[in-house]
Amino acid sequence: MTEYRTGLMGRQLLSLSNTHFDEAGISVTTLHLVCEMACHNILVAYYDTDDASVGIRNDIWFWGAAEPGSFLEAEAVISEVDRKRIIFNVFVRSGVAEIARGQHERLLISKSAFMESVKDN
Amino acid sequence: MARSIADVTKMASSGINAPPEAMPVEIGQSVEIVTEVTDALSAETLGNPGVNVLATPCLAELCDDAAAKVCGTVSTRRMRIDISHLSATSIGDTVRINAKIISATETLVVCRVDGRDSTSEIVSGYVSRAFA
Repeated sequence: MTEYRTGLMGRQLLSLSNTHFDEAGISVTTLHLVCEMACHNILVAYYDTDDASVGIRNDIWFWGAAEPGSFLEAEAVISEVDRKRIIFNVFVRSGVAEIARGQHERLLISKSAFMESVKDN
Repeated sequence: MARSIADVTKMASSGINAPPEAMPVEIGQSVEIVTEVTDALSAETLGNPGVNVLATPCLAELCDDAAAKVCGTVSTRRMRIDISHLSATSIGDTVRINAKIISATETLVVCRVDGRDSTSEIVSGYVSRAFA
């Protein structure tokens, strides 16, 4: 398995449409997904065929706003590696304004073993 | 006695024809929301191929929904979601998310959230919402 190290960075850019919003603004799913994808993009570059990762913790602060038609950009950096548990700091911008930040944790898994364990439950 | 604009506004809004004020949030209030996990909520659909279980971003949204609901008619906006995703939930299963108010100040309400699917505990954490 790949040895991930602190400081590796990833990005995710998302073009916002009406489907990414609810009555309160950007949906929680959209905001957390763009954070997770920025983290996922770091890991996926080193995946073998059966490798994958799943989110195990989100701690995201949100204070901003965005508009349909604009872009959301998330940046992630690995802040800690604990065997198969990878911890990221994430930052989200809408244009030049930072609108959210926080931490995300992912667990590296074997895709086949993971889905087998889900079936057994 | 001099009255501030806020006093006058409050008096005007509590007249006989004014709508009733929203119920304040109370520590200890709780709600449960029940959701069936469909393909639309799966990690695979959201871009994690081969991982066909409830996605963490969707679980975060369910937790925030529960926290918004427990605030009742009081208008709040999302501010912080801090959750641990404890176990995977299959597509087709049903999840129950409980939110309970544990703290409320003039500006902020904090909810303890936890949830289960048909087999195990799946989420635990806190959701903070600011009064709008």
